[in-house]
This record gives sequence, C-alpha cells and structure tokens, in this order.
Amino acid sequence: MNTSPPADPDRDSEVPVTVEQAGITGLKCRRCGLIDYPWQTFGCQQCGAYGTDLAVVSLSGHGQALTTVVDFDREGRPAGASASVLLDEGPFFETRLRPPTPLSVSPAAVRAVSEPGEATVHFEIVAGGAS
Amino acid sequence: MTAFGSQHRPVYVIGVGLHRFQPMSDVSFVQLGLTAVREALDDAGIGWPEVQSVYTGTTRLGMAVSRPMLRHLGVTGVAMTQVENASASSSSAFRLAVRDVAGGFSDVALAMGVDKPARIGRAEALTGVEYPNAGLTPAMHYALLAEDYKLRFGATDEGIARVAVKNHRNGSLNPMAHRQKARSLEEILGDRPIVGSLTRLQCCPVGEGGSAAIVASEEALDRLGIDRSRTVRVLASAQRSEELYGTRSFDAELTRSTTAEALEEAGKEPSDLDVIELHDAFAIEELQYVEAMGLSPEGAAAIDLEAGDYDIGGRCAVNPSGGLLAMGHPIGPTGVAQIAEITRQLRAEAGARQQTGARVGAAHMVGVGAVCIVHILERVQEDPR
Repeated sequence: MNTSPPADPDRDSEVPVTVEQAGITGLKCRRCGLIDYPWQTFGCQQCGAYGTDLAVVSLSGHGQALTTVVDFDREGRPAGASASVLLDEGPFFETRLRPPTPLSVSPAAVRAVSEPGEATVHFEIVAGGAS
Repeated sequence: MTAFGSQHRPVYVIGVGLHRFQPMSDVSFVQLGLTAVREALDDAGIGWPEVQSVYTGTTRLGMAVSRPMLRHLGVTGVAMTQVENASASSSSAFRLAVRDVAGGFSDVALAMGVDKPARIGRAEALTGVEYPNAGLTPAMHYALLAEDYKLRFGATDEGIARVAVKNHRNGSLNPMAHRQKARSLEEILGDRPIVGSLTRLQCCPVGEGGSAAIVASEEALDRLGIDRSRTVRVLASAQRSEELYGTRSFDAELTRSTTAEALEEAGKEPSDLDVIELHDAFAIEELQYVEAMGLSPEGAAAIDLEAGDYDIGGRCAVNPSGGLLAMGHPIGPTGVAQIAEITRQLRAEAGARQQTGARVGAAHMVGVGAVCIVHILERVQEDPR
C-alpha cells in the first residue's frame, strides 16, 4: 500500500500522546472454546452457549492488519482508512482505523487505543510497523 | 435438506417484467412496481385475478408496500407479503413464491421488487454491542477484499477493473439498465477513486426501479393454456446464511456453499451453467464468486475473464444484463430482475445480449446479514405432455 491519508505535521513516528494503549474485552466460550470480540452477553456465535458459559477475557489489543485501504472524499482526496484485523488471540474483523494512519505494506502491526477517560476503542497501525 | 425437488411440484416462470433501473426521479414507487407487474402479467398472458399470492422485496419504502401499489390492479383479496433481506430481498421473495407453488399452497404466485433511494440503517447498529466494524461501508469492505485477493493471488488492479469493462459493455446493450454506456479500461481505472483500488465505475449505482416474475404449477399451465415453450423451469432454490470462516471472505465462502447446494439440488455441474447473473455490487465480487461457484480455479478468474470466458458468447455469460455495476442495484428489485434476465436468456429473447444456445442459468445474490440465495433455472425444451 503506497497511498497515505493526509499527513499530520504534528505526528511523528512516536506513540501519539493523545491516546493510550487499550486492553480490550472479549469473551471466551467455556463450552466450545471460541474467543470472540467484542464482549457481549447474548450468546456464543459458534455454539450458541450463553449465560455462565460465557467468560469475560482481557485481550491484548495487539494484532495484524492483514489488508488496509484508504477511502477518498468527492474531490479524490484521502479521507480515512480501514483494515481487516486479526488479533493475536484469534478474533478477525474489519474496522475503521484511527486517523491519521500511515499505511504501509500489509500486513502491519496494529493495536487498540482509546482517548484518556473514554471507553470507546479505536485501532491504529503501530508507527513504523510492518509486522 | 432440499428446498424442493422430486417430492414437490415442478415450478415454472411464466412471465417477467421490469421498470427500468434509473437514478432517483419523481416517479412514484407505485408506478415503478405496477409497470413491472403489468408487463409480467402480459408476458404470461394471464389476468391479475389468477395470481393467488404475492411476495414483494423492498428495503427502503417503509411498512406495507404491496397494497398501495397492487390495489390499482383491482380487488381480488390476494395474499400480500413484504420481504426484506437487504440486497437479496426480492431473491427471497422469488424463493418464497417458488416454495408456495412447489408446496401446493398456490398455483400462481407473483414475486416482485420495488425501491427508491432513502436513508435506512442496519439492525446491527441497534444491538447495543460496539462492533468494531461500525462506520465501515460496503465499499470499504469490498475494497479490503480486493486487497486480500491481490495479495493472495497476485491479481492486478487492471484484472479487477476488467469486470467493470465487461459489465458496462453489457449494460450498453440493455435499455433497462441504469448505466448504458460502454467504458474502456482506462476510463474505469481513471475514474474518481472511492476506496482502495475501487473507482466509481467499479461500484454499483443505487437508484430506483421495479421488477416482477410470475411462477406457476403444471396444473396452472394446463388450466390457463400457457405456452410451455416460453416457460422456464426452476430447478433449485437454495438459501444459506453466514457461518464462521476465519480470515477468508465470508461472501465467497457463503457463495461456495450455497451454490453447491443449489447445483446438487438441480442435478447440475458448474460447467452446465450457460449464463449467470451474480451480485457484482463491486467489481472484485465477480472474480471471487465465479471461483467460489466452481467456474474458475482460485486466483484464475481474472485470467479467464481476460480470455473472454465470461463474455456474452464465452463459455458462460456472466452478468449479461450489465450486472449490478451497470444494470444497477436499487436493492429491493435487483434479485427478481436477475430472474427476468435469466428467463429471457433461456427463452432466447435477450436480443443483443443473447448468450447463444443458453439452456441452464443461475441467479445469485448476497445480502448483508449475511445471506446468499442461488436459483437454478432451465429452458423447457418441448411440451412434455
């Protein structure tokens, strides 16, 4: 991937100071062993177990962006980015990436981050980060 | 578990009709739907009172769509049901109409679709669970699949864009298509970028339109004096929903299992398919789906496409209508419009888009949720009586 969203002049290759690395909460099914993300109480999507069969698990928030793409506004300018993410513990999903996200050759290391004091989790490519 | 087969009654498509797929206009959805239904009734040569059940695929028009349209055909008290299944809404409507007839609940059933552009949300956003794909559009999802396909198989942007070249060319031959202009590879690749390598012309237009197909039992053919040489038999109706596939494309894997089920039910092989209408909302999908259906080995679809295998006149014409990329994708009517195109192809009534000698065809749709529906249709050779 050689296309990047607009550069942020205040951003360098260091960890951004406005967010903090976040652990994320998933579930482990005690019946079939599936590890899933995000946490929910409705039931295991592999075997249908629910209630006490669902255990809360802390996930590292680390994984790989297997593919990444930039999306464009109506003027053809890069506007954001998305990735397919495989977490180290197994869950796989697609997600918007926290801007600005420098994109590099896939796969790239990815991590979960959150704004201080906020519960919402975002994912971003780890700076410099081919995995 | 088959939807229907030797233990159920044979089902035939006896009439099809369309309102052109087009950009949003002032035309009422009532007129969009009625135009399609009246054409289908005329095509079948039957009157509205003969229709015993109706299934209407729609996604954006609100509750109870059927009656405000169909009351203008006259009072019959016919059973009316709305069907929402995202992109596959009228594919499901067709499936329900087919099962109605196959099961002996109706002798004549109408499947239709109608929609106009409007904002609508997805139920997944209301679950209360913060799924990480919030804000991800279909174009972003399929652009990620395109990147994955290129990484896995060494495909190129040009190879993917040739799907759009073919389908825009087919659309230029279709007076019912939303887009009716042939485009060069350079035009496709040089068009406005949307996401990743997908340009605007590699993404389907979402507008408005109407579609209708009437299905009937053999008893109805006899009773109504239907010309059997213009009927098309429905050999299979398969529908499945998403399973867990790890990092593989769920759209392709779901297509693989659903198509296999439909082909088995029909007693056909992938090589038996002469014509296919499939869900090419984004160009990358066509390559993945013809591979999943068993028409090309994995990673080889772009090569086969460039060789002309999927052109009209090739070994299997794929999306001769122009597909979703050119015919358009007004959502509700799209699935039944595929049935209309396959029916016309198998009757040898497709004009400039005709796949010569077409005997067996397939219609394929996927819908968010995620569902996949595949119907297999076959030309009726001669009067079996």
